[in-house]
Amino acid sequence: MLISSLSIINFNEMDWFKKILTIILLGFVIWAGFLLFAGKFKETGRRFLYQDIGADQLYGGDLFEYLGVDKFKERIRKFPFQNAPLIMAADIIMQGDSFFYSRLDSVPFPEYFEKITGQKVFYQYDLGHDSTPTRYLEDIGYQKGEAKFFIYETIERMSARRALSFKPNFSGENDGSVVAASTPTLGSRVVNFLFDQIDVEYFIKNNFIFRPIGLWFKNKAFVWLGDIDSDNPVYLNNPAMLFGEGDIAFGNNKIKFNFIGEMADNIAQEAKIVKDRYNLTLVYLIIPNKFSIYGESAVGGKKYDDFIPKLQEALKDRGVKYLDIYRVFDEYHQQHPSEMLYYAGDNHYTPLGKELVSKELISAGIGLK
Amino acid sequence: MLFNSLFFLFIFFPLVTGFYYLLPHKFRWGWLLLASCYFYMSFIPSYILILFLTITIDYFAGLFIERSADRKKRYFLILSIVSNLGLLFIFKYFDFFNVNLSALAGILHWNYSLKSLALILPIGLSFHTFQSLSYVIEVYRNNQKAEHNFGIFSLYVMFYPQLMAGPIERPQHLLHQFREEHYFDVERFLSGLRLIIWGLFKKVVIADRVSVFVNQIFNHPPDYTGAHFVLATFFFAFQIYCDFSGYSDMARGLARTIGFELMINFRAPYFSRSVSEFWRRWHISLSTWFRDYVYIPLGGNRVSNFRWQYNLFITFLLSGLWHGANWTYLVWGGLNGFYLLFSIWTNKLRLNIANSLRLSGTLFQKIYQTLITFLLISLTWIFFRAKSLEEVQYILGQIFTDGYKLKSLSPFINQYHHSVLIALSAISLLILADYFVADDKRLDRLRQTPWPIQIIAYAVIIFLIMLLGRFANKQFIYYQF
Repeated sequence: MLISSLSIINFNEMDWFKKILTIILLGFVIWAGFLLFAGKFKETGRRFLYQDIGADQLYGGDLFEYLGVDKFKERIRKFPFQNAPLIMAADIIMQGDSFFYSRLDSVPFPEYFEKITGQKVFYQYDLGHDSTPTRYLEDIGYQKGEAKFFIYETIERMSARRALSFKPNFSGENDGSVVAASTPTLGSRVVNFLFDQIDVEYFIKNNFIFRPIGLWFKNKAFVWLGDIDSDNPVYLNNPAMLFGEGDIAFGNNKIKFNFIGEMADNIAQEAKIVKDRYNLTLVYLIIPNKFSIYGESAVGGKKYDDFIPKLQEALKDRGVKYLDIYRVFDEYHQQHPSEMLYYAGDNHYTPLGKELVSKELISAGIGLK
Repeated sequence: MLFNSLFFLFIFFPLVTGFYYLLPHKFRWGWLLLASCYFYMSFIPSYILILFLTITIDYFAGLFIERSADRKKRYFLILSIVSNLGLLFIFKYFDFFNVNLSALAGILHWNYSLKSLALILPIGLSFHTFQSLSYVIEVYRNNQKAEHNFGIFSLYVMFYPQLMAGPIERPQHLLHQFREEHYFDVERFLSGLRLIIWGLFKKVVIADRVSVFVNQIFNHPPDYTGAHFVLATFFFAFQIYCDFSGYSDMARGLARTIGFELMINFRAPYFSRSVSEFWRRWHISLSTWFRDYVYIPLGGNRVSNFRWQYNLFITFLLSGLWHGANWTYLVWGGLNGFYLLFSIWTNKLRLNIANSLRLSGTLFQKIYQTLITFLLISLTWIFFRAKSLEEVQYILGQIFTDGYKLKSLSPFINQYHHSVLIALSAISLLILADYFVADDKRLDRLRQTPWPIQIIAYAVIIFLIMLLGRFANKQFIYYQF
């Protein structure tokens, strides 16, 4: 039946041009079938992924992975995670985002801090974007005990969203915001298998044929036309440096200044609850966006709008303890412009940035026995 | 699943098209129906039940209308219209009317406490509702026989190339095509591919690129000046055109690769020399839908002068409301209606002025008419893009106070300068292409270009798509309607 139906294509009546074209089109159908199969069955798909991290397994950086322009490619070694000590045995408790978990060319910040101070640090790797200090402490089952420091870290671009999402839970009961993950049913697994296209899209982008072609076009667009990506249009030529979409959008956003008062109020209230309920002193630590330090000299960049200093001023008025990492980074950058505090092709800080943050913590009296 | 997603381009389209030709004719409609269901369900699977409900109601309405005498026929028609528009109302308009009624009740001190439904709008609901309605109305008018095969009727409503955002087809044009046997024809297939490539170029090279500037400015009005809004409105005019006509081109191309012809939805609208011409070139399938099922039943132009103008204005208001449940869309439709009425009122005066200045038929007249039409239409896009009338008021206020201060644009242009230049170059290419599309003779001449040159031209476009295209899966604007 299939063969007779193929006669619909009238292959024998075609001239050579049409024959070649038809064969190419049939090839596309077979290729589509392969992409679908390899995308759905990952064990098979992995064998056909393009390996662009090289035999040394070095990482290119998150911005490089997305934008693919070789000029900004890094050679970063990723360190493994270690096990954190038990919560009640810890001297310091830390909560933070990917800057605390970043393990690029060094161990994650809490482990690094533990190493240089000798103090035991408790932290988790898998915090959500809107996780607040009180929810975090509830989640890890922290019990009130002796006075300790609680270091809350956030990257600048997420600081407003996070602080504005703080909804202090005075009763101490779970407000329903933390919902236990349920086991997926057979029905939902079938629906996911059929309709979830994320893995397949990933395979299409990153297979051994399409990925090198895609990278070639991305590099040519940059070299010929200076085009990186409409969402990430800003970059620095010397030293080479990319900036994330979130950094640029936050740098352009002027409305954020309207919320500084509310942000500071929420942080102050959260600090009070953490103190009253858990006897912990909250230390607010905001890591500046890469764009805030280097943006002024970037192509299409602009002078920093002093968001962090203004927020810190409001925190000071409310008696919240904070660390001024912006001042530390900015001063260091002015004095040592060739030493990189952030990676060229990654959003995160280098081991040097990490070292400056820990020094600032120590100089504030945190981490000393 | 979006037409510009890699999954669609490299898996769904080749597999559906390939197997369509490999399967015997009798299995093909089933295959297309299965593919269309999958396409629709890849957004929110359970919403296919809503579509199924619409299809079932209209399928039986069509059958009963065909079998019934005049009076009964009418009841079935009304039942179908009420069911279709009822569903549309619940999902799309209920919250809008509820919020406004609640505000009105507050002013009048009435006790009104209906809660909003906050339902997610099924993608493309307005499109397939209108397409389904057009079938029932045409059966009622005896212009179309009722379709007895439930599967084929379902496919008429769900045909994947035009399911999400049209063109809104008529049963006389589309339904019979599902029964015809389509042989693999290389010329026709390549012609379909050309449309897909050109549509993709409009979407990923122009629309998605300029959307970054447009969103940056329109999403943060207080951060920008009048000159920024002028720039953003200019880019939005091309964003929405490229986004929607890009989708329509792809839809027509996808259908053509498997032997189907869908109606033309856009014909170089920015080359129009009047607003009425613009509406004959923009979203043609919707304009003709409103013409055939609203404007003409209201009496069209075969009524008194006042009633005719009323009919025109009401049709445009309803067209605005069709686009979205917001006062901005209603005013957008009303403004377009007003433009038409104004052109009717001033028609003689404008003719006299042009004649006395000896401008009639000159190139100068053609150019300034085209530019003025573009400016007028661009002004309406501000209503279309803004989130509220307050925002429109703010934006227009900014434009009319310092819209000419181009110096204030330099930091913005500096930030995006490579991308702005690329966008402007791509828009120039689009205008050049539309120059040929705008006129049938020019289009015919373009079609007669030797095939090696055509191959080179399309190879260059593919190259540009890969070099400059944005494949961040940005949804088509018209999907939300």
